[in-house]
Amino acid sequence: MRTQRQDDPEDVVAVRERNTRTKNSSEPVPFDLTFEIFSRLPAKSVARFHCLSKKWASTLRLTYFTDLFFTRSSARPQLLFACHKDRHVFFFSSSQPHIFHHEQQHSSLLAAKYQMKISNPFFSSEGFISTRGLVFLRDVRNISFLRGTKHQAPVICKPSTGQYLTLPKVKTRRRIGVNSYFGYDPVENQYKVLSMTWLVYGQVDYCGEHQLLTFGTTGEPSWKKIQCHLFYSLRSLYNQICINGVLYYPAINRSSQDYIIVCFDVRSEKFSFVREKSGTFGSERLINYNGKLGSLESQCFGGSCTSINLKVLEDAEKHEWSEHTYVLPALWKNLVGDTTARFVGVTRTNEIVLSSYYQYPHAPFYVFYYNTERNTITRFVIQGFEAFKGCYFHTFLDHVEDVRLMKEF
Amino acid sequence: MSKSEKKIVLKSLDNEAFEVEKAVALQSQTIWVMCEDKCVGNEIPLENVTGQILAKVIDYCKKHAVVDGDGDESSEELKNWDTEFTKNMDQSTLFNMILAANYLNIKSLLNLTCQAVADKTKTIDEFHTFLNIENNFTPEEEAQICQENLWAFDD
Repeated sequence: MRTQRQDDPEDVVAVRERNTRTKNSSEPVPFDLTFEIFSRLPAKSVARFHCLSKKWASTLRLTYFTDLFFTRSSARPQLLFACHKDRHVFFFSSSQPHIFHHEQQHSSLLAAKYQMKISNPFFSSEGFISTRGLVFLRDVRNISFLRGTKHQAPVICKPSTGQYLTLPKVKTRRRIGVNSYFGYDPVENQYKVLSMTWLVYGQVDYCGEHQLLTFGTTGEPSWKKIQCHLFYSLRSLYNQICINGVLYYPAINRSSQDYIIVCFDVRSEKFSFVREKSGTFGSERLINYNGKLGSLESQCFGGSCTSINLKVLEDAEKHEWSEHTYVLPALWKNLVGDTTARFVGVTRTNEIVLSSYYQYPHAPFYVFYYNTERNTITRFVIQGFEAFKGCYFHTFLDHVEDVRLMKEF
Repeated sequence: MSKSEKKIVLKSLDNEAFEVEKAVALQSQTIWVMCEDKCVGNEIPLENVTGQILAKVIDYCKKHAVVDGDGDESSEELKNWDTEFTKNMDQSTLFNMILAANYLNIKSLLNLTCQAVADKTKTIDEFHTFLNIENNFTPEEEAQICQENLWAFDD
């Protein structure tokens, strides 16, 4: 694995000087325009083009370039797919489609490009979380249906740079269940992994010890214990969302037996919660609804599904949620066919996105965009998963490519 | 304003003359500055752009002068038009369009054409050729840097 090179600010000046010089040289396209083109390349091409020349190998590592690349890339977010096959995890990305509402077409094609793979025999196919260009492959231990699975260390993977780092394992006693969530604090620009443990064989399943691992600062990341005054147990192992520095996950308040969403402030490292009027075990999906916490729910995910329920947290202090039920158009049944889909999230323009999560041998892999205002559905057939029949997939919305290298430790 | 003042003549490197509406031509910051300076008449010589490329730039400006600011539906249409516009251009036309957009200072056209080249150019050889970049690695250095970025060559 590579180490991050220190960028010298003087390099930028040197580049600018060269730029003025090359304008009158034999280069057909001046340096600053070439720079513009490079900032718009796919991340994988940027890595490949380090081999162009010495000048480009150093230019493409400059903070000036990598920051510009991130800005450009943020303007055109992508779909990211992670697939679990034969103890490898394969990553693919595709452009995020523009939906033109007046178009009569209900189905289009979208090409997925292979990014990278990582190998580890212990990944659970359910445990992926994606935030801001990073994918977190979590450590889930000793949970009844995973009992007997080997102890694994959490892994952070960056599909834009081909890097992955293994994080230290959380230290616990035996006979303990562990789950972890992944959050980002935009103020301090830090990623944190929150782990909670509980006794597996006892009657008590509430979360006891909480540990936190900070990632992105200098020095080696290590776990530290943090205090949590809440008395709760988890409702779902995989359902989490981090919005504006707050990590949310569904739970049950063991004091009042209320359905709650735990809110963990990633920066201040403090816990709070909001009550839900009703809730489910596992079938809901927490989402980012234009910066607000939302939750999507449906009775099923195949052709017989008729409606989608959306709850949006309007006032966390008053525990106030707004609720909307969207009755799906009749077309849904035809579009989904015999396959099933899962919620992926909500776009910046408020379209609900669903996707296949299994590559059936005889059906394509689909991504659906449901426009709630117009009650229209557009289906995209994803091309590129032909070799992954019978494999499970995760689909992530708003993946932003970022060629800044992860720091090694 | 008389009819003649609304029109402007753009003259290419190879002396091809294009009469266009002023509103169309003024999307170019370079032309806008030239007109403001009043140091030119109704004919503007563009020494860095050939007639073939200038015709395409004018097509782009005409389309964007008509549709800009007309609301939602038209911005969708404009996006489709932009995609079609660059879709069948070969690399050398695209590079000349980038140079023209840069010289004429039309930011949206520069964005569009740079993105089109970035989307179309796949191999290192293509970049070596079109951008005239010389590979100055020693074989050992090249082997090492390619090894460091090996994952990116795995398709």
